[in-house]
Amino acid sequence: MPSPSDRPPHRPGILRLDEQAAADPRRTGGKAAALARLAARHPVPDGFVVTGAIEAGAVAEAYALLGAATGTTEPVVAVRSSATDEDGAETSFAGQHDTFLGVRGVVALLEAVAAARASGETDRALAYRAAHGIAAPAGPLPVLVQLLVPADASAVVFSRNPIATGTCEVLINAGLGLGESVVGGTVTPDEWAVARPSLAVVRRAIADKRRMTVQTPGGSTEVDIPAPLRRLPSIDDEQAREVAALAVALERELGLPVDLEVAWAGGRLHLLQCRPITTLSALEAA
Amino acid sequence: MSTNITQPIVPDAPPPFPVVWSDPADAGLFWQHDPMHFPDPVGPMEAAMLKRSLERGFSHGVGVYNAPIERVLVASVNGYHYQSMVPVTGTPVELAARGQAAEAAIMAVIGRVEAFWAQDMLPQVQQLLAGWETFDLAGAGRAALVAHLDDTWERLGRMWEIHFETVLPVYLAISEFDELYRGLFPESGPLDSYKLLEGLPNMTVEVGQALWQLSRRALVVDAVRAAIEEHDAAAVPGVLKATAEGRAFLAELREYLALYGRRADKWTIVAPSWIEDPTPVIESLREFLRRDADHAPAVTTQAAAAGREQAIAEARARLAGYPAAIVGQFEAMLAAAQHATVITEDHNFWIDNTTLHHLRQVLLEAGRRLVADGALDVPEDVFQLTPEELRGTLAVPGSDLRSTVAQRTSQLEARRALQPPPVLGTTPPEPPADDAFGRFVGKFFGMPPAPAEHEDELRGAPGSAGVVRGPARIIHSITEAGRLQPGDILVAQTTAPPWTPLFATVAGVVTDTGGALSHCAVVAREYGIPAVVGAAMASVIIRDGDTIEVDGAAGVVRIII
Repeated sequence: MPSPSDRPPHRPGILRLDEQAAADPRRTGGKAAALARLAARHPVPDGFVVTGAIEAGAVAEAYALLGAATGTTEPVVAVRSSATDEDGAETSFAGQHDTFLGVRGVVALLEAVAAARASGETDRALAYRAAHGIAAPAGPLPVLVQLLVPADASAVVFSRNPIATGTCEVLINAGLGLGESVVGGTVTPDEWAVARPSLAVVRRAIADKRRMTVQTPGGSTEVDIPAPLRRLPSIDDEQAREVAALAVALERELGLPVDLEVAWAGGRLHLLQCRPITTLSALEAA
Repeated sequence: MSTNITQPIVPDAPPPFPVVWSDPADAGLFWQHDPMHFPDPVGPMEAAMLKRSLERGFSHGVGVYNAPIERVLVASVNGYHYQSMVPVTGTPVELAARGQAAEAAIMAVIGRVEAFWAQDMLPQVQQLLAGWETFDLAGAGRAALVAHLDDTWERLGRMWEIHFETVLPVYLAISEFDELYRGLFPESGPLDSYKLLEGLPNMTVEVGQALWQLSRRALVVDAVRAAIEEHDAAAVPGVLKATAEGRAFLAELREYLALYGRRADKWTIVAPSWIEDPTPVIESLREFLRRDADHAPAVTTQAAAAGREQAIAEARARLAGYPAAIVGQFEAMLAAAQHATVITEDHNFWIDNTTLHHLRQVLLEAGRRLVADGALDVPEDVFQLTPEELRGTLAVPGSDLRSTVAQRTSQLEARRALQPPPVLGTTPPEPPADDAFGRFVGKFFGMPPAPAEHEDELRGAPGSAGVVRGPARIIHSITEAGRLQPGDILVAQTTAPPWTPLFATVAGVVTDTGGALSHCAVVAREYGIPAVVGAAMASVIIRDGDTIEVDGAAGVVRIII
């Protein structure tokens, strides 16, 4: 794969995730900018951000380049809005904007990008902004397009246990498949607690997991896990330690306790998101 | 012997069915009649055989896996076979722990079920069979025959231990794959999962294909073809002996029987095996002679195999976006269920059929000695003796058993008119557990059918998908197979493995007993013909010649006329 410096910049209105400019939240929004900063040192899936007006030719070209890097003409991508002020240290906007998983082909991609942008202006989002005293962003809402990780397992990871704040452990909630069921709370996840700094597994609870999100040809869907497989562990101890080490490293880099969204595909760990733990900061401040 | 009389649970059985328990405690157990395997009343020898085989074998099977069943008891009530699975008692915590341990033990075997059968079980079976095959029955002296009879009972018990140690993981592998498939594809039909298991090579398929080869040779030799086509099946061997070509063909038929003929009509020792009386084989040959190459058994198997591969490819495509752990489990369970499906057929060939054949041969030889002693009129009368009576009279000749036999023979005849209630004794307080074992029991023996929605409709369990209409042929025994014409719908109380060739002729099957995993359903799917199983009284309600419609996927039989 070519290194960032080998690759030409996209047309105006589109920034590659590994371009330096993408790390500026005023241009790419909080979520994409945070990922752009992480992409330099961590396994963040490749992608680009639509910052300006949605121009079909430019989006198609960026999409084709993304595919070329993986050897496919129509890569499966995830499309998310990236509000300019989202993922700031003060407020988490998690779940306030629509996400489109498993998008494939230029036509579907353009639809998804437009829909993700429009969602920034929905009543729901506006109400949230009003409640938190945050103004609506000035320019068009940046939209992040990233290669979708065909996840075998996904996890939400807290570098500090947000419930038992006195303990010195990384907390991992993991489920089978794509991360939506774990993030959305529709599944009771498997839970690991990994001590820090030793990275010893101190607790492991395999849950009766009833739901998982899987990739479908047109996107993704949440399905029931058949009864005989509900207690299949989503990850093993080695994977728990691997991701705990990543969480500790990220906390050190950012200087704050963090929560991560991660996914494993074919045994490889991918970092999908990293945010400061807002609730924990509040607790510790109190 | 105490006489504790209990009323049957089902009160509306018309003829009285008096129940006398030899042990009063038996009245407190829950007893189930198994009409799928044992529809008819049996005499004392067969009752003793079933008790020795099943109590020892089934109890071993549940014990070796620590299943939540303490042991299995067998009772012959008015000659009808009843069995009771005595559940393990304990606290809910103990029972749950035992259930989990059993499931883990069985799943471990399921994970290597092919090697388990081929390396662990089958060599033991073959070693036991060698004990019968190498013994010169006709040439044995009296003492040697008595010793061989003792060996036979012991070998029989061990054989049925192996049988149940094998079938529990084998049927659970298929049942759990079905559960997994339905869980992954909730919108699928009740029989869709079995499509992924069809058309695999097994002993049943081999027996049919070898017979087809034999029929192709008969086809090209006029004298042989005419002998089979123009004479009663029973007369065919005599006609063949008259010509040189016929004698050559008879030698080939004997070779076929030596390989595949150790099997009888139904699970019984009273019916002759194919080696003794090849009439059913000749009936099948005659039917094969009418077919062209497009209807060879291999064609059916190939079609089933193509359907299987397509169904597997479709399932894999639907799982393309699923986590590797889920796909891995699906593949592992699919492979195990495919091996298990082959073993469901192969174990019948090696254990059930062959063991019954050998036991019958030993008993008949003893019977011949008793005829020579003047104790019996015909060798077959041994089946009206208890094992103890037979052994005693064989070892120390002198008693005349003919009046005992005559009395028991007429008693057995009288018992055929009885209608055995499906259950006896005391209803268990708990319904069967919704665990892997409980689910399998339901799919094998069948669940009570849903009530019919229309007057002219019978409900059973889906056995094999498809809708077909045709004349009903009520068949009670394989000897009636000659009445079946292509397009007929076979209606029977139950179908035993030796009936398999009939499935090639008929257009559909309806049975009174069984579930989706019963032998009848498995074979019907193999042959791609619709089947409804477990349709309760179908063979009594439907009249021979009625036009009926079988909707296999729905589990419904409609009586048109």
